[in-house]
Amino acid sequence: MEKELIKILHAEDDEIDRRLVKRILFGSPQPAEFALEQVNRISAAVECLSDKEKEYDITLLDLGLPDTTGIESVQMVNHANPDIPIVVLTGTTDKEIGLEAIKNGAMDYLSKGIALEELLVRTILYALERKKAERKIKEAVETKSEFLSIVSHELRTPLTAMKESVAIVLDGMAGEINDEQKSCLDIARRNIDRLARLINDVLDVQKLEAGKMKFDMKVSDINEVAEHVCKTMASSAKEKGVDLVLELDGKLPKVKFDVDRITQVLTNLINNAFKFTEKGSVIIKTGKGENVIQVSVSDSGCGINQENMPRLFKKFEQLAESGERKTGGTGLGLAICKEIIEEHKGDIWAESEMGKGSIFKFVLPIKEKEIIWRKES
Amino acid sequence: MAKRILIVDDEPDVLKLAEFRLRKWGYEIITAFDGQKGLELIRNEKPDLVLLDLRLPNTDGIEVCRQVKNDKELKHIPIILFTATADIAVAEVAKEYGADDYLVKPYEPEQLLKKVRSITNQ
Repeated sequence: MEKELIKILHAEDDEIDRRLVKRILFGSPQPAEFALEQVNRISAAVECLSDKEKEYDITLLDLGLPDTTGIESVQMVNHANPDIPIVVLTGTTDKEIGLEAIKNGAMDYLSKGIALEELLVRTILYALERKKAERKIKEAVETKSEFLSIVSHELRTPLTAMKESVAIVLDGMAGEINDEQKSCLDIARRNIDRLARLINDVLDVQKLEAGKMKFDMKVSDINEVAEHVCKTMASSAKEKGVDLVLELDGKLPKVKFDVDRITQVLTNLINNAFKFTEKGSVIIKTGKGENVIQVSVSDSGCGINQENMPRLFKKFEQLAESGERKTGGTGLGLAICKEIIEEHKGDIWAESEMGKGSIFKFVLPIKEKEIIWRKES
Repeated sequence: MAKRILIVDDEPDVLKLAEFRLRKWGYEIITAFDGQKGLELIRNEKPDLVLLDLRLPNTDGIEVCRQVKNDKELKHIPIILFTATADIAVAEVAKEYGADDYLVKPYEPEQLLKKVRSITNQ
């Protein structure tokens, strides 16, 4: 079988170390064939890696190059071409920095003094295999996203026709219907809506997971959002026979958030509160905490068992008193809320006492925190 | 006089039902199954409103919208994008191509009524 050709870029300024690597790769028979290019500056390495035609398979990187310092060189090389794995070669004494390099995007590290001869080729081959596996995973995730978006479109179209046919009959547009017919069609309508919600939720989860949900962050008034949500939900509160109460703190500062997404969170929390509250009230309260604004939705419902608390924000978990699913939810609502709030650098949690009701709270930061650099995926 | 609405959608069931509802609400309806026929009707009939699906055979909805909104004679005709695709930012697409509003399928009949009414004043 023909040996695989592996193209290596070696960034190293020490002549002895350069020769050492050369000797290991070419001095004795190896399981793969190597092509080696050596540079002695990080700027030259970045230039080589940015040149897509060069098609390196892997970079071996010394952290002591004269035109950069330590970890920064890993970041620069990684940034130049994130698709190419990096193996860091350190001096004998700096183990810590090797681990730090891995946190900053290196695939592995080796100490030049310790068994380099034995480990170098194996480490290179391992790094390449791992990169291959990572690429496959990434591809699979992309395929899944694409698949879900197509499926969602294909599901929505027939649902639209179903929903509209039922609605037309229910609205009496196709002639008068009796109460029994109406109650049957009401069930159909409710379940069509449920299916539509499920599709939306699955898409939302997928978008959040892939980091593809866009957030339109604008300085806005949380009280206005609460009032608006309250207004739109007034009729379902009435239907349910539950009082929907607003307690707003008029002195709240405006903060940056995505109005549509926070509306979605609040609507979800209130819908949940309705589901588990047979009678009494659901109270929406806004207030200020330390560097945060806080919104809470409390109900006088059945409460949540302490042992179920950790499951609350997990996907596809649904709580019901009797252990059976009966609320008609998707089991995704709270998981979506959590992701949305976390994207806002806020926090969401629940407090509850059996028989007395539950309270769901979320906070949004008042000051913009320092920009946290997210590792490129 | 009843306002005239053009519905462009390649899904016959969806089209038929929207047509049925809007007729009952007192609108005059004309329909097209693809973008090319849609454009032709927009040019010849100058409807008071177009309900335009995005994924259409021949010329897709975005292209229809773009052509209408870039045409001096036609750009006053209001367009509501009418789509089952929720994974793209429909709001953004609508804004970019000058559509007047959008509605995601499956839609709430009240939403449809509200949007159609406010645009046609009928």
